[in-house]
Amino acid sequence: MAIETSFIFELTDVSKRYEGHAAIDGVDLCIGQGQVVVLIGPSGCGKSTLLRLMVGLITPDSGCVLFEQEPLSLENVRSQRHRMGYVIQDGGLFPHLTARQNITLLARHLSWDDSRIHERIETLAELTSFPLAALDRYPLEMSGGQRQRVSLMRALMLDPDVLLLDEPLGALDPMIRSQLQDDLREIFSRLGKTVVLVTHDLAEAAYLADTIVLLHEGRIVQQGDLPSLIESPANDFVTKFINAQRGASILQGGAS
Amino acid sequence: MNLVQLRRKFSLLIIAMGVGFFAPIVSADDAINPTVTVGSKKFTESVILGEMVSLLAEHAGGSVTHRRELGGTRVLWNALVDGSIDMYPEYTGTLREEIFIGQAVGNEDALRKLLATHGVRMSEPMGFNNTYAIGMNREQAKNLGITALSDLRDHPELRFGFTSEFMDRGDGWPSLCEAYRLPQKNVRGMDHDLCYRALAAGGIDLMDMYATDAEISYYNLAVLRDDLKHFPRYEAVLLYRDGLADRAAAVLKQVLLLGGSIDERTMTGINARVKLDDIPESQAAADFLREKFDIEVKVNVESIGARLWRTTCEHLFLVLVSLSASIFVGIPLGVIASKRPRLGQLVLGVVGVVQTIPALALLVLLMTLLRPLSVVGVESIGAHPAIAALFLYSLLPIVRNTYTGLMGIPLPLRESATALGLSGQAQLLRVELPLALPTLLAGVKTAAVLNIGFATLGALIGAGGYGQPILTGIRLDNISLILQGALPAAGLAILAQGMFELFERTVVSRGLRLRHRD
Repeated sequence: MAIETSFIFELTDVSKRYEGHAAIDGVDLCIGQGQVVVLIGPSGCGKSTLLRLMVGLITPDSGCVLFEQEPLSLENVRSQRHRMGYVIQDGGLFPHLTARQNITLLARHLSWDDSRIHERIETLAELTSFPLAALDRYPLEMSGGQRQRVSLMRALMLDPDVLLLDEPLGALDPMIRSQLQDDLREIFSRLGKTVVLVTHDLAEAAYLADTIVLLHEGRIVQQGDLPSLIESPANDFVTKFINAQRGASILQGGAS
Repeated sequence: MNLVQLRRKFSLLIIAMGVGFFAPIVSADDAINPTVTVGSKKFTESVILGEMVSLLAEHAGGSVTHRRELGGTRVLWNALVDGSIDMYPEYTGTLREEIFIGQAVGNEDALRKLLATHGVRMSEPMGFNNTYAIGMNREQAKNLGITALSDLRDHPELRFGFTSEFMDRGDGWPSLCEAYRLPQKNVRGMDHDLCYRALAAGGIDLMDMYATDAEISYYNLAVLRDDLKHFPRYEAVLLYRDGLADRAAAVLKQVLLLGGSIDERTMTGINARVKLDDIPESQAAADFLREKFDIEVKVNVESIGARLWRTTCEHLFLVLVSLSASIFVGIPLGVIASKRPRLGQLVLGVVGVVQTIPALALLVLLMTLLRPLSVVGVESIGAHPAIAALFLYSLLPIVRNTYTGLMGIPLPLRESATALGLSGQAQLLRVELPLALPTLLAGVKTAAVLNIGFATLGALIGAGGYGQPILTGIRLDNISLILQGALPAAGLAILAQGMFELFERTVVSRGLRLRHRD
């Protein structure tokens, strides 16, 4: 796929090893403006590691990660993170803060004024269909689905250029999960932002993604949309992975 | 230390802690009412002599502080040499056998010369020889046919209980054992007053005692004859600092009246009044001064309420100053430990080792360490070393819990804070410390409770507090006095615990308490 516009992320020959074992092994990946890219693969394939490299939580042993044409570096990673929104499984909400305090933590730290914060919260609550009345609840007083919505609002507070979601729906039960998948897809299309999402569920990937990136043992095996993965698999692993997931999808109605 | 002084010291200390360290405290009207600090050891006779000295000094216009019941000869000697006290009652035998052990000191003149090299002078002997003696139950002695120390050779099964001083000193157990070739192996060190009780209860058979101890007749004990003349003479004297003669001549002159004025029988009688008839030391001392010198001194016998109030103030002072210091130092140390793993292990190791030093050893160690600081007004006895020791003791729970609390934050939460793009400082203040707060506060609570208990030992080095009535109670075998220290100390610990729990409820986010309820 030839993309003329600038890339949001550009990874070149990136490797990361843990105790001699290659978690990411020479990955090249370009993510274009406005794309929804889903990183998928079996456990331990390196998909979460790849996402963590993008947000600068870990640094590559070799290779280069460019975010908006600039390498992530100690000096600018903080301001770069202000242009990324990062959401993890379970939401990663701070339990000592209410939903509202979680969402506004960074904005307050950056000394936004109250009216601006208030306005932004209302917009986000509407976008994520989160009841305003629940904003003063603590994470432990909320349902799993509500927590993920709050986490998404927190990630979106500064109106970042890109959303990075690490198995955002992994801990939810199937009904809520399916509802949130619908909501996420609508939110992505309304925002038009670049999204990088990690999942191990092929049905979810197919439902949300413009591009699926399939990883295996720290390398990218194939990228493209689901039909291209099915029709022209790069190797046996791709076929095996798809077939295994199909079985699970049929049995469990798309939510593994 | 009266309350006004205490308050003044408290505010001074707070100020001093803010700007630097303890500032020297100089009294302006020193010439008219010279300040005199008297020390005494933690046995009754010494406290009585200390009271006599204090009352006489006060009578002569001195502004007197009596640091009673300090724990041991070294403590007093060091305090005298560095100027923390001006005078205290001592025994010549103790000087020869303990302070100047290993230096063959000749006659009295030689002793005076040697003292002078330390800036210390000695009064005329007061008139009684309170030498060491070995005693046992009269009946048991009779049954076994023991009258002299050499008779002990035939009874290797007998058990000894000695003061720890006696275990170590030059004329103490090692040399006694050697001189008489004693075979006994069952020897343990314990508190002098507890020795009497252990002897009465049959826990030990023999103990060291002093010739003027009131208990000898009370418990019907036999004093074994020193047939080889092993024990030297223990003439009671007053030691005082060189400068006292210039600074407080009138006071000194009055105090030196005591030279040659107390014989053994008189001293034993006064000891018995205090130990057996429950007369306060100051009263017994005043009665003696009236009878002997016709000097009428006013004795303020503290009421229970006043004493409780004073000891509470002293105790709170020790606890609050030391605990605040350990909070201010401990939390940052815990934070650093969690951020720098190698340094962290070192910090935790060091504060952990401090915790293993026995309480009393730590107190004495700090008295020595603080001595060079006397030039800036730090005292080597009293509240200063006690606070330093309490500070060190309270550090471990605070440092460790701060560290544990921070390290216990789940990685996803830490990473979420990082990924948000918060600065390191904001992460610490807005996310990590609030999350670690319940654990951190638990550490401070533990430190506070430990500190309150440990502070009772401060009395051993003249820091006052609830330990004072406990110490006096043990000395006088007075349960009521012991309880006057032990109960409020326990009450204070419970109160502190309750207050911390209340405080926790107000400062720890409700969001975190939900988790604790789960």
